[in-house]
Amino acid sequence: SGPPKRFPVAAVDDILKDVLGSYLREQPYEPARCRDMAKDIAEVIKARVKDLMIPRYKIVVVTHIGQLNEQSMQIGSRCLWDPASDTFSSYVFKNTSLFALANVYAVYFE
Amino acid sequence: MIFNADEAHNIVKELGYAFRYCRSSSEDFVIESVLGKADYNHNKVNQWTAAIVEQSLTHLVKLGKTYKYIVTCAVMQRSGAGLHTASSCFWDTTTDGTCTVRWENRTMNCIVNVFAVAIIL
Repeated sequence: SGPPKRFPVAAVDDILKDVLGSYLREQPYEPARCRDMAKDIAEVIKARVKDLMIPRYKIVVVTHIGQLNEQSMQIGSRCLWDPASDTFSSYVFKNTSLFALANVYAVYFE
Repeated sequence: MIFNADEAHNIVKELGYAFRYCRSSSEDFVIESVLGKADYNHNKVNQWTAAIVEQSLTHLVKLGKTYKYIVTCAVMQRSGAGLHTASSCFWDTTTDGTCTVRWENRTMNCIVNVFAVAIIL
């Protein structure tokens, strides 16, 4: 059987781009502010994805905000799920002083 | 069925069966086995993060529970730069859950997040 309505990855990509851009466009890296922003952005993204009203999908939103120095880093994830129904959306934002990564994982409630 | 965060946490922390490095009471063994005493290496970090998430998933599967899992790993070179990670989940709080393990050595930081989502069979 499988989900009646497939998860709209493109619509969620747009949400991520919109939320990260509007929160962080002119924001310089500040530890306390970025800590709060990571939490706020995760909540806002979750709320907007819920507003898409895709039935029977559970949502996990993960956000990372970091300072842009000369350091190198790698962020990766793997999922054990059903690729026919489950999917994810990911977006990276950068300005001159920080970077932000937002991932949304959508898991069908079988 | 309740998500057991301690069990998942221990999986990521404690498994080190055939690994080269010594155990100590507070080390995180899946991460330790992959990163151990290595220095941050940009060319290798891709395979390190892949190994950590894949080994964590393998051990989570062995718990034999009817869950879907999402495992995220961030490895960062230690340079004094700040990193903040947050998550927000829409799920069933009685059955689903998450746990996070942080690990570091002299040259790098590692953060592993496990999200477990229940399914009904």
